[in-house]
Amino acid sequence: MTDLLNEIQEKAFLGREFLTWLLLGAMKSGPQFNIKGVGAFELQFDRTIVLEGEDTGARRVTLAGSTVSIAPEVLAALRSGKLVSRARLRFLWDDSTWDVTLNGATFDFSGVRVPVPNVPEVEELFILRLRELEKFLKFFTALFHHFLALRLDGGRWKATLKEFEELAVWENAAP
Amino acid sequence: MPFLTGAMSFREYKVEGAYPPNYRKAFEDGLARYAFRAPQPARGETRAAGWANPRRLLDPDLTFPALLIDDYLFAALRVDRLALNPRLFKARLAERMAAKSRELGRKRLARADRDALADVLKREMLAETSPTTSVYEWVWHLEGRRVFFASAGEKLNAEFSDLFEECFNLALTPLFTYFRALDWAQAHGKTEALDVVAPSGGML
Repeated sequence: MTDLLNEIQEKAFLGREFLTWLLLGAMKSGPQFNIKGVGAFELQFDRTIVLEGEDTGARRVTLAGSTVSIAPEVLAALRSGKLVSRARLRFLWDDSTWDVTLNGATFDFSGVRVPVPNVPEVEELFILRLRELEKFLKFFTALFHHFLALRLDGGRWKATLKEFEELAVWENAAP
Repeated sequence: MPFLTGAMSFREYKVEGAYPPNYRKAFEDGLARYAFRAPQPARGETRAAGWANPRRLLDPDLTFPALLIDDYLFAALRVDRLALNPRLFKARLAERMAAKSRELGRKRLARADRDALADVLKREMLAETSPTTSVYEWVWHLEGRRVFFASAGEKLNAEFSDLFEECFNLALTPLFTYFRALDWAQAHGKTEALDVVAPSGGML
């Protein structure tokens, strides 16, 4: 049991790296993503981003605002080795828009808003909400699986990090 | 009512193990066995937890017709807590101790007498007290074998999954980052890569 708990804690960084990978992807190429196995979607970092170093706590940075993902403080925090530990995200995929706050360490979801039509019948509304939630979770799982395929492949991950480093150099050179 | 209206906050679980052949009857029996029952102060209880119907909190009917919506079992973990008002308790205890001292013709009561008075008063006051009730919804997609529990609190999630496992004889795996990664790694022959993967040490 202790081994399992250690494993859960030791691999929690994967969730933070996943969120950071999404953020850097959006900074590099804009909000439009097109990912094999997931499809085309738009991702907006909406309102709040929390960044933390590996030793959490005092080194936490919380940024809020409508243009938070392009704030210079975000790049500065990333350059200092911090990763995104929590973020408010808006995904637009197919004909759905999902708003969600994701905790990278646990993958607990909060404040999830799903699009449902206005229906008067409570049970019908419940079913529509749950189906839309499951649609989001299926999309989210495919996205995380794509990240894992990249992350657990040493060569591909190295190439991805190199691309992000180029982003940092480019941002540094920007007037 | 997070699953009915407004924003949803939850932890997702995967249900492990095979359902029994007549699972509907078995699950209904479990729901009845672990249904919420109010705390009994006469027995020293100040807290009680059990299943309830989130749409009709006082309705003891926890059968499938009452809880099932389409293929989703929609239920709640109800937790009631009884708490004394400490100032009132102290004041009433002082009154009783004074009365007992007069009755016994003593200036001070023995510790055992004080403790006995406090114990009786505590039970009396708890019996008069309205509980604080918390309701945490959960949804079980029976076919999809997924459970969504509307809380991220660690203690509460531990209590929920323990109760669920006892009630239905099925284990729950919280879909933390590691377990999601492990599922994928096992399906793609990448468990070794997952075992050894280490933090990138900053990504810029």
